[in-house]
Amino acid sequence: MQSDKKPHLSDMMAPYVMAGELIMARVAGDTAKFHDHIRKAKEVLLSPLETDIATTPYDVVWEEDRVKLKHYRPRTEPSLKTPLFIVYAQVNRETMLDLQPGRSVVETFLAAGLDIYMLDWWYPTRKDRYLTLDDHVNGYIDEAVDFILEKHGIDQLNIMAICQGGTMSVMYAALHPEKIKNLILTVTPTNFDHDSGLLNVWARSLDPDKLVASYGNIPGDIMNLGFLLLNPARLMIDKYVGLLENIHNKEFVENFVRMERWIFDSPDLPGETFREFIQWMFRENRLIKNELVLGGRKVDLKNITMPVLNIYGKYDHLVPPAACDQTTSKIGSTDKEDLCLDTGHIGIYVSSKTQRQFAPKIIRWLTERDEAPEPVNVATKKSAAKKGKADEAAVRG
Amino acid sequence: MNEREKTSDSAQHVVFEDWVKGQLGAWEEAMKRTSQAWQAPMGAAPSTDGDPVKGPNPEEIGKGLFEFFQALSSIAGTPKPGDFQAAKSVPDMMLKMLQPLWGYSIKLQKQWAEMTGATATGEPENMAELVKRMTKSFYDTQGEDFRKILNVPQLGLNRYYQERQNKAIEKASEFQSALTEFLQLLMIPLEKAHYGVQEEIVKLEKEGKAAIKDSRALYQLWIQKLEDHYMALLRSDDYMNTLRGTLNSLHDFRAARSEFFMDLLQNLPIPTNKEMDELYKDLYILKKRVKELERKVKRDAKR
Repeated sequence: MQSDKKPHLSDMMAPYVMAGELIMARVAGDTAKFHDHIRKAKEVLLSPLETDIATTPYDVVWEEDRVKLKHYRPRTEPSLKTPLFIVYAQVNRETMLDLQPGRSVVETFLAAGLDIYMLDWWYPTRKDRYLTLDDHVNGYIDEAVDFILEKHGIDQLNIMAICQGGTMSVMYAALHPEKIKNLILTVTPTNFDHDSGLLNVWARSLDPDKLVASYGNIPGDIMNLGFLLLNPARLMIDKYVGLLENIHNKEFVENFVRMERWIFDSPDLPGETFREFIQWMFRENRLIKNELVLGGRKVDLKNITMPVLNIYGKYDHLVPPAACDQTTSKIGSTDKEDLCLDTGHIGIYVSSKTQRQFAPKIIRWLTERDEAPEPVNVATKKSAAKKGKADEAAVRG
Repeated sequence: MNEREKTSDSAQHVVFEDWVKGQLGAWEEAMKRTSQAWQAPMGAAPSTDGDPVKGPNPEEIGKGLFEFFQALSSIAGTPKPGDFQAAKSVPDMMLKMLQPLWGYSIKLQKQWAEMTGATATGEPENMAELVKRMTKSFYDTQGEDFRKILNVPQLGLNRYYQERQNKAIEKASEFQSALTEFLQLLMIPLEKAHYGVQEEIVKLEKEGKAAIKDSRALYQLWIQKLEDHYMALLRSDDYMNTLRGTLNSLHDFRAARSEFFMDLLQNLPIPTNKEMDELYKDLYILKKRVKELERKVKRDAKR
């Protein structure tokens, strides 16, 4: 709006006043309902809320430095012969896979009889700042794998990996293919040469050396701030307006608080690993180009010959499809599948819709590639088969 | 105050009054009902005739608030307490209360803008631009003088300590300047969304369509526009350069601060980050060697 009139300072304030106004009006909504919401909100906020996350029982069976290996207590006889090892990213925590009963990938896997191990990177401290990608891939991941293989007396296990944990698992699979029976990648970036996501654009412009020199480890809060700035309107305003609108709804509030607890539980990232990841992945795109060298060995994607299932989200703003959809064309496997779900980065694990697709698909895919276990409980097997069919129907539906 | 300014202020007053009255009318009703609702569960079972048991009613709460703000306004000086007595409703009263604050805020901003020369040197079109000019003006003028003083050569035994201290102050100031510029950039989408919504409403009116009356629809329109403007900003070179500049100045500040603190810590029985990092690095290398040796022993044992 062009005008000859010199703008008054109060005109300049108008956008901020209007922002506050619109938010207040949106929250208040219908006046008659508003007072009722406030009354109920008081009841909700003052009552005990169930906001615990990651409540599925597990044992820590292996530890090395700060890194721990969780083994979830099985609920049934194993339906698969091969245990599943889950590698989460070092950004945020693996508790997201077990957010709450009914929205837990771990729970679904256990119910289907999968034997689950999960790597917990825990919280790096300043002494971890020199740990490299090599230390994580050929060190911690490899040692945890060896532990599981030895414990079960087997030569191979299944790996399911998430986000940056997936990128490291791709590196691991290329360097140690003999130890992996099946590989499941979920929202795993391997191609960083695209402009689909803001994260890529920003990461390429950052100077990782300066950040690492300043902080040692990269603080989780700094990374979280970066994630919030990916979409400030939705993540810093609209989300909380949504909460205020539903503040009278106990279940909504509980779910919201759980998600907040997970989002802002952000361990720092070891400085050297961050530096290498930004430089080698985001800036030089070495992995997909087969130019990455770890621990003196070339990471050749053609070495990945085991079956691979690659799942990603169509609306993922952190790891967009362009970051994931080249993987299967670059690896050596002949048994490989891409699955793009209609969801985002986190929704893939927690939305009720993908709960019906994501975990059942993985269970089915693994079952098809697993030899029948020796000690089979007939009833369990029948119910698992029945469940598999139901899951398949749900996915198709 | 000249005639033009008087007219402008008067127009502002009308707009402000409409805005406050319109919104507060709805809030007054909501507050009344809410107040009743909040009282009810606090031991106020309805009496036989259906009225709640007597407790502080909205009028009494309003009266208490009124007296509080009356006392407050008497301290501020304007408006006169009598103005409140003339107020017939909560919106009227709130308007009277907000007016001096609003006026004072504008006065402060004017003073600040005049002091920094922002209004004298040009016509900033929005708050983001104004903040940018004010910051730039401050750091280009006062900041430059300040920097010269900080960089006066130091002499004598303490010169290195003094230099490091001055450098930390200088870098803190530069970081503050960069951070303000970065935050100012983040204000721009808020302003663009505001004008975008206005344009949309004008467009609807021109097309003869009904204006958006529903607050929910208006909010949706605003948040969508805000998101679009943020997306455009966050991809821009301007944003990238500012972000990079802010992070670089943050690094310079933290490095300078660290050097300054090292001087302090050296006189105390506390290890510095630098010393601890050297130790951690030694520990890291040793652990790596031990792990490699362990693997070698395991491999040899298998043979």
